[in-house]
Amino acid sequence: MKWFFVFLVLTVGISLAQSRDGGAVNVSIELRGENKDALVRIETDPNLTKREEVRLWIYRDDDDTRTFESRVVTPLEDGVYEFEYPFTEGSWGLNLRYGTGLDIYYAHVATYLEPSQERTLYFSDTFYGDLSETTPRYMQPLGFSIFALMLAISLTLVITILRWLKRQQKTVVSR
Amino acid sequence: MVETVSRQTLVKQERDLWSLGVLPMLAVGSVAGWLGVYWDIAWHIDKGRDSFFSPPHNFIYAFMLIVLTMSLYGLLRDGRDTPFHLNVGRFNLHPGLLIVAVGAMLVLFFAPADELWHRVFGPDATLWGPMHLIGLLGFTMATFGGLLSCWLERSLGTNKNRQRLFNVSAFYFAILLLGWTMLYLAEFEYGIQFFPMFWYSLLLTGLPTFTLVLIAKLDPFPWATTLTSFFFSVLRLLLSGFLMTTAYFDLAGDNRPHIPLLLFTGLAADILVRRKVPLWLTGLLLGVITFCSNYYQHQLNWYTDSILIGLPLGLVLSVTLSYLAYAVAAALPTLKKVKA
Repeated sequence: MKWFFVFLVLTVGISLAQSRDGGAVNVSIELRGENKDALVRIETDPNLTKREEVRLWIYRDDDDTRTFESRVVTPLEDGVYEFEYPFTEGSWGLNLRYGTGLDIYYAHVATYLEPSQERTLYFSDTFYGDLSETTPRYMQPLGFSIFALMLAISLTLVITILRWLKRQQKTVVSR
Repeated sequence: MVETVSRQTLVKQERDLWSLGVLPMLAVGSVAGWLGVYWDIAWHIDKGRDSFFSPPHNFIYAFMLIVLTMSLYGLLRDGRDTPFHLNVGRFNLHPGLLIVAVGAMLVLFFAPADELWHRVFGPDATLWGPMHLIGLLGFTMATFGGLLSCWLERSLGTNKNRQRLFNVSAFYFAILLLGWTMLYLAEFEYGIQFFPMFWYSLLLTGLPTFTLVLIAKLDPFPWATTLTSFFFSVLRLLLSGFLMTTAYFDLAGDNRPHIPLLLFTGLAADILVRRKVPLWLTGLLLGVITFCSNYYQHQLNWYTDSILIGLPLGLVLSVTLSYLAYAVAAALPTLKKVKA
């Protein structure tokens, strides 16, 4: 039983681990004129992102405030994402993320947009990972395994106390 | 005979955890920790991760230190010998306080581990980082321990007013437990998720069921579950006010989380549990209601595939948690049983 438990803990941890390197990303923003949504196209290395979702923060910088909106996009084909967005004139930024948990990668583009001018803007960046380069690949599964172990210990304590309380109830009533 | 036992051994108590000052401090510490974690997330979004001794960290850990101190104080000072105290050597330990103390210890012991983790491996920002999850587990345990403490005190007390006080206290901790449960979804609520979207629909559908079925089954007073979900919403609005205040003083909080709508789920839980609807159906219906009530605010990011994976699993989670909540409620003493 205990080996089954150890196996379970490690399996849960390992299943969450997908260590990879970041890759290049190309972003194009096609402005289609005033009051028309712009088309944003994102191309990543399909071998890295495969059919994963890409999560975005689309933010607008005004004089002293930053407003943002969260978007999640799914690929049209491996590594290619598209969505429409109603940009207005001003400073805009796109913060892109893919990956899971600690093994997450970011890229970022920022520009000044004038939607009234019909044109397409192109940007390039490279995804960078959150963890340091020297971090071993097994850290994410190991970390989750530690959590799973603490969860199991905590739940065992709580369940033991609750079962004891239930027994005590019966004792009190039967006395 | 039962009455004799209860009169002689259970009720002859002069002190309780409220008069010792333990429960009020736990109540304050638990809500402060909850506010602090949301503030900390807002701090990470607005200001980045500058140092371990950031204001939200100091806020959280100071209150958790108070919670730990008070729970240990309660464990040592509460010397009552009742059937619901654990006899360990010279001590009669209150089970609820024991859980609170272990939860607070988890939070405090893993604070330096979290710092070390960030220093060695990098500033991972996800709320579901391993050390963060251990901290959240500690907070949740401590709040559950608070609820258990109140419920046991309610069962041990004889004074009607005192029982009413512990009823309300248990209700308060149930609201907070719901708050802590939903906090696991905070990075989705803030829109900075680091895990695939299906997790959001899965956990949002399933997680609230535990607390709502638990409080419906405990039934401290009529419509307690509806009121729990209502005051949960009030608490979340107060959180927004708190973050607006911190933002005003340039202490982060410009970004605030979406508020999940659980009012309909609470109302349904009250009705379904009162009518003794089978647990599997209760869990299923509560999951569906939670999902539907929150669909409108997330339809932008809940794409079809994420729902196809998240919703069925969320419903399974909801059903499982409704059974679990029922089992927990059944393990807790009722006034009827103690006083028979």
